[in-house]
Amino acid sequence: MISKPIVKNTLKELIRTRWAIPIGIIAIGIAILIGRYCIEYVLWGIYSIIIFGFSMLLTTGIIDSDISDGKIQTILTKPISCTQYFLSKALGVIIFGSAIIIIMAISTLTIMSLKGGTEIDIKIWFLLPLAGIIAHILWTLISSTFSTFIKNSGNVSMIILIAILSGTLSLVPNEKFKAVITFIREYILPQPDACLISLQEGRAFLSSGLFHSLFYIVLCSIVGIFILNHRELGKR
Amino acid sequence: MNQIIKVNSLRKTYKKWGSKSVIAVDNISFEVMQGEVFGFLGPNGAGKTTTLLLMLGFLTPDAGETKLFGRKVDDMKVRSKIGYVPEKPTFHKYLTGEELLSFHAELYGINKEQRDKIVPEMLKKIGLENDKKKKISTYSRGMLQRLSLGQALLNNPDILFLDEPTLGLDPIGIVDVRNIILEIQQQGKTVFLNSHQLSEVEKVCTRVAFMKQAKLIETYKVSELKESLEDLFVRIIGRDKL
Repeated sequence: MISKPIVKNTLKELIRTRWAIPIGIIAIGIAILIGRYCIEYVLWGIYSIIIFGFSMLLTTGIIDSDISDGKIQTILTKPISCTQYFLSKALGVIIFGSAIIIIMAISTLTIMSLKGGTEIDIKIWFLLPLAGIIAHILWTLISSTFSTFIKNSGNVSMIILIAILSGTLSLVPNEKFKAVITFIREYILPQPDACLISLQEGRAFLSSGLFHSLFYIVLCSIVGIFILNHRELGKR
Repeated sequence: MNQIIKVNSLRKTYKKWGSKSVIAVDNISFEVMQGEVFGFLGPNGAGKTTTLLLMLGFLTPDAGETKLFGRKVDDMKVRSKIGYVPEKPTFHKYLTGEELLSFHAELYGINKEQRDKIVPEMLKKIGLENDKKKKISTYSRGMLQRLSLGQALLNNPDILFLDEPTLGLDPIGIVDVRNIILEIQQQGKTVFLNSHQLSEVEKVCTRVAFMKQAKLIETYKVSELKESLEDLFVRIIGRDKL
């Protein structure tokens, strides 16, 4: 199902054109160490920027550019299907993103251990950013689906729909459900303090939010792949 | 001769919210036989590129269908036997010419050993041997056109779709493309050619079709023409369309 050349080419593209991201993370980490700001909040801010960046990479940065400027035409006349292309591109971004996560985690652990006196919960530093990335991939898949039908206003429509849905669904008297809705509202809706969650709350979100967001990822991936498969790729 | 391309009652309308729909392709049908070099001619906006995009599966027709080798174009066996040169070739600018050809060869399923042989040969054939290590972002229009031709020929296709292949090429490049088309034809392969270069079309095509205002007007065998292709073009398309 996965096309190895597409995955390799996506990684090549990200490494050659997005090299600023890992270098920027390391530079910011060094600046924090030197500047001695409140590490937890600043790092959460960095995570949220990186998470948002990944979701933009996946759609407008990587796949959409192939479609909008016609590069995809010479690719799709080869024996590769739209679904294979999309999944392979996504895998390339996930591999690159995972490498960034590892760099971030190592930088964070190094800074925290040098600062001393702080408990490091490895699950939180690895799993919460991962959940955030997955949540934003979910966000961009749904908004790409919307953008296919509602040109230039997919993101706005998404925000309104999620705000209405989550507001309505939060009335459901089910604790797990409430945790999912709170997760969606605080992680997916682009609020300024979306990722400034305390470690205590983060643990609660992980148990239900990660599982449920994975379920929605699969569901929305199927819809997204269906939509991309049926997009017209030619220009007059 | 086998029927290689069959287009049947193809129709495509471009719809835009708030403005009039445009019929780009209006119920056209034609066949191309194996070994033919088939020229598709018409003025700008006639529907030639839309027809080609429909044939390749990039656009969904409102009606009708295209079959290549008797199968639908999204069949992977069909895709492994065709090559396509778009009108405006765009490639990943961060790759070198050599890397791009290697990438496309890998998409065709060509293994590393064969790629290491085929890619240098192709670079020589398309005249980019000395520029293979340069990034595509530095390539001129003519170099991009040559690269585009190269990626389409990697798998030794049975059908080659060319959309204005000589655009941006110097006279030497135009002759090179002509020789490649004739070489492919001698191998018994088929070429589908969209072009405005009537002098070149006359030299390489076995049959031509004229398209005007979304409709297929007529097809002609080039060897049976009693006038030049240019005169025929003007007569069929009409001076008011030039």
